[in-house]
Amino acid sequence: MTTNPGRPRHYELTRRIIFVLVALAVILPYFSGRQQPFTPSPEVRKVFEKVDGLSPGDHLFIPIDYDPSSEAELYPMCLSLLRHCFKKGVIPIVMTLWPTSVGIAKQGCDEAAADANSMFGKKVVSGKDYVFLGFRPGVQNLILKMGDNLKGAFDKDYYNQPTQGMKALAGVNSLKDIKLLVDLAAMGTVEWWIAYGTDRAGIPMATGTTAVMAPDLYPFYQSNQLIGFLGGLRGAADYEKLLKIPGRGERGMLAQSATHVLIILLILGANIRIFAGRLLRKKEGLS
Amino acid sequence: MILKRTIPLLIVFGIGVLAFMQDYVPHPWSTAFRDEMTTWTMVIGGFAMFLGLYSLSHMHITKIRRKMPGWGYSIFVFIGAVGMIAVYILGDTIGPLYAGTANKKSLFDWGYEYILVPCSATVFSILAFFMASAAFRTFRARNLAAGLLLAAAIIVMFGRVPVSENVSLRLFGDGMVIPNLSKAIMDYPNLAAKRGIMLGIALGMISQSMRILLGIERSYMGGGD
Amino acid sequence: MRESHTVTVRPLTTWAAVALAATPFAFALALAFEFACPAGAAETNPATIAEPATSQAATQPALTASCVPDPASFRAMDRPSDNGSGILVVWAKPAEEPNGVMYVVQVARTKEDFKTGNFKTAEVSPSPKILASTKPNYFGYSDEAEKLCYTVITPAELFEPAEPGPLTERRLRELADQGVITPEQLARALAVVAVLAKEKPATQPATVPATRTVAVPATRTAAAPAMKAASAAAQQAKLTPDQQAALKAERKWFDKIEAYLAKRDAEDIEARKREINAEQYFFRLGVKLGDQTLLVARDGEPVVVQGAAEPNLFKWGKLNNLVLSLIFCAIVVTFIEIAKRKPGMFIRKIAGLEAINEAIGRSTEMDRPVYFIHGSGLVSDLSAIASLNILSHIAYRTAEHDSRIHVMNQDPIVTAVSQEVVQQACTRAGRPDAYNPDDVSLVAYEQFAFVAAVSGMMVRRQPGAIFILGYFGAESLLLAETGSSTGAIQVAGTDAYTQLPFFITTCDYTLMGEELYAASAYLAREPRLLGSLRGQDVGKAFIMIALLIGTIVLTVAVARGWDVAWLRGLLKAGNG
Repeated sequence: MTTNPGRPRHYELTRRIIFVLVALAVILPYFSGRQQPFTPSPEVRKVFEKVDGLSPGDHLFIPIDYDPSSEAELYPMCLSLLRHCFKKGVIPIVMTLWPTSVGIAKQGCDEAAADANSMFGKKVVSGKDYVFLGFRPGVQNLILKMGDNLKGAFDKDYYNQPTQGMKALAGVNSLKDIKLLVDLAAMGTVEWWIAYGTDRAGIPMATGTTAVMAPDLYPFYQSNQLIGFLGGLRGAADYEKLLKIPGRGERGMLAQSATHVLIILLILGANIRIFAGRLLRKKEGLS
Repeated sequence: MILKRTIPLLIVFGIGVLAFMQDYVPHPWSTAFRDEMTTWTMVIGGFAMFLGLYSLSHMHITKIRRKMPGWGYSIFVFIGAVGMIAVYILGDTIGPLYAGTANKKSLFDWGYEYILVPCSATVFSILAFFMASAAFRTFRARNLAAGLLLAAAIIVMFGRVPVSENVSLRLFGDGMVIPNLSKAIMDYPNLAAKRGIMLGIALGMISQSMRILLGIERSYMGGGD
Repeated sequence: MRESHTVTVRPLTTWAAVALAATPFAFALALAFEFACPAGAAETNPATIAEPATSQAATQPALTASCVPDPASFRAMDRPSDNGSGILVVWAKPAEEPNGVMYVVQVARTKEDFKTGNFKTAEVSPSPKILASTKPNYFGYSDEAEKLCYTVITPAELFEPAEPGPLTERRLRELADQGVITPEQLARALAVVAVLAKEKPATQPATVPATRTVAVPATRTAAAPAMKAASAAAQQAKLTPDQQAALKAERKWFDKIEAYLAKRDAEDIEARKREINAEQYFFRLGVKLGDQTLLVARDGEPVVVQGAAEPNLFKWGKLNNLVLSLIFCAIVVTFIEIAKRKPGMFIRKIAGLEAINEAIGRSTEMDRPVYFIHGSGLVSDLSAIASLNILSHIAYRTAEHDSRIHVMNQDPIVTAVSQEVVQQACTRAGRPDAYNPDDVSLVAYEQFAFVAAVSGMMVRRQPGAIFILGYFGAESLLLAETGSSTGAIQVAGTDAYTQLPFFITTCDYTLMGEELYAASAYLAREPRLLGSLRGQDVGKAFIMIALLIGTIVLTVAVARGWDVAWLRGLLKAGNG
């Protein structure tokens, strides 16, 4: 790497030191195995209570709108939601708007279904206790179509079973028959689901997003277009805590704390250095 | 000129107005129009893949042929593309290195789970390092505004992690003071700023859309106009 | 080349006119953004009577005449602003609503069907949700709406068309008679059905798809479990390998026919549902409590009303949205016309766009290429179109300076358009030979593959100037930070407001949101484009003034206890 003549000499070295410190701040706490107590946020609590308030046989629609790169933050949310559904007897309907998300969505369904057996002693069957619809192209138009006719938009599920007559989709003709929609998104699909899906169908919606996107959900949360949301790994950890099934979310909290504190200390250190330098220059100027 | 400019502009205007009105018309004709347009969009998008494939292949083959700097990386492009296409076409087999469980997976699934997913996650995780480096370099209290930004950033960053509850409990006797302060910053100034930006962007989008519909803006057609 | 022109339109007159025009819309705009009525408003209405506990009554009260709605109020009508799938049944709330009572709506195709018992029944539970006042789009804001109840009857849900059923021999013959499948296809299908019928005791029949369990391998054809069963059956029958392969092929072919017919059946069912919804229906209303049912009657005879659903041509609930959109469009068009007549509209400096020449000049001096990085948007996205405008300008300047530009794309169509734009720009600059199609290419379709490739190129080739323009996701910081480490001058622009902080911290100049859209007007300085920018700014001022006035008015209204429900609804985003 060539050095920009406009930058300080130690720029590259400083960067590398920062990278090493961040790596240590993430790796050491993660493998220490220690847990940190924390209080779930109100936004996550509302989502949890809404799902918990569903009755057995109700349907929860879960679009998986994230790709493998966001798996670290959103996969724990996906697992927790599905486990919660299987625990309550709620029927999750899983689908995705993106072809790259199909594998991850299927992986989540498989793992949660296996967990249902080991954790709750329930044998869940695709097509009866949950349905994975897979992917169809169309994005916003697909959402519009599902709002009118879900089985028309997905005539078969991922495993090529016809949705007409499927037990898991009994009584579900469109999004209007869903009790709750929880969009797990790392892309800008939340607004599409609000505009084309839940506002039109008149159903409540929540979302789980990466931490970067979480601040942008507050306008929708405040106007009740979202009943709540899960933001980043902390949101996943909050949900796991409420569900009382620990997972990767809770496990990552100590590492997240350490990294945030490290960055704050680095910023403060840099600013202290600048202020100290100014004070010294002032003193030299006076004397 | 008519074929290259006038007819495309007429098509853009006509379809644009119909698509705009479609949202206000509940009649089944409107839904049928929307479905038809969706189908056409998917068909055109499918053909566009060939364009992209040609562009990508041509560029990398040229690099390999001329041994341009970085030509070795171009070989990996073809290994990856051809490899995944081949395993998909060949059908269901068990990955040779898959740590056998009851679930059998195809080579394609294996490639997705053990190549694409880790590579994507790895590149994404570089964000953590870059974010630390960018924050260190940029958050300097040069003036009052920068100082306020710095203070808000520190409070929000700290308030979002569990350790803030411990610190808050020791300092203030209540574990939720710092998290609530962080939430207040998100709920009020952040929300107000976001709404302002969103409004501006939305109005800009409407204005730009109008320029496109009226044919004032024609850059999407290619060419100098 | 660029001159700053003085303002030619009197600002005071403009703002005064805008303020006057904004006043009528001020109230509800503020409400729309700050006090939007949430979806479940009726449930939070403090005046709503809470649902009494059902366990209180020890004995079931008897239904009396006061529990029955007034016959004069009972009517059926087309649901407005819909696609012809719903009929509104309306009645006045009776004087008494005992605990546990249900409203019963009986729906029949003819009046005689009521006598023969050939009708369907829909039960409606009394609750605040069924009050007509919760649907001002249908019933308005009058006091009468508080006293009316309604329900939506969808005939296709009550009189569901019969499912065609599985593909049996009989059905296949019917399809052949209708000409849906040819005689040859019929013969082939019957052979497969016969094989499946023989396997029936060992497996689920393939014509009724088996539900999948988690442990079963996820293959891509529905015939997989049946194929395995066929394999087992084939072994039992001691078929030769050729026969087994033929059977497998036939099964695959049958699956395709089955899928085609299933899709056709789904379309037929949809068409049949539309026909059912379009018919005329007759309604009777009653109240039910336990075993007792009392129908709404007049002169001893149950009242029968009729109604039909019709597809409507306009969603009246969205009228406010349409009016505002048209007003905004009118403002933009007006200022475009003004700008055509009075060119020279003032536009403030946008630092990022001013820096383009400086960046390209710097690159040329350092003998390094210029990089232009498109976002992940499709060519139909406005940010991609705005980026293409800037690309045209940058390519022109780069060709003029005899420097090289590399354009990196994530979408194939954007690649094609970018190639055209760069080629035209080079020709316009008098340097058609400067265009190299390999410099404008698709790098990768997937987000992080794109980032990895572009980062590698940046580090190896060390560009002098980097332009990152378009819609970005998480890759924004990766690209910008890598670019920053190379020492290049960076200009970024995006309408993805989640990524703006990252660009601002790492890039030298950032175009925020609408500044990206304004680029075409800024760079070209064409009067029509500047006029549209001015119109957009006037629209924004309109909203700001409306917000301010609306906040004041609503605060006063709440303090004085005025009923502002109709104001709340004035600009509420409706769907019907």
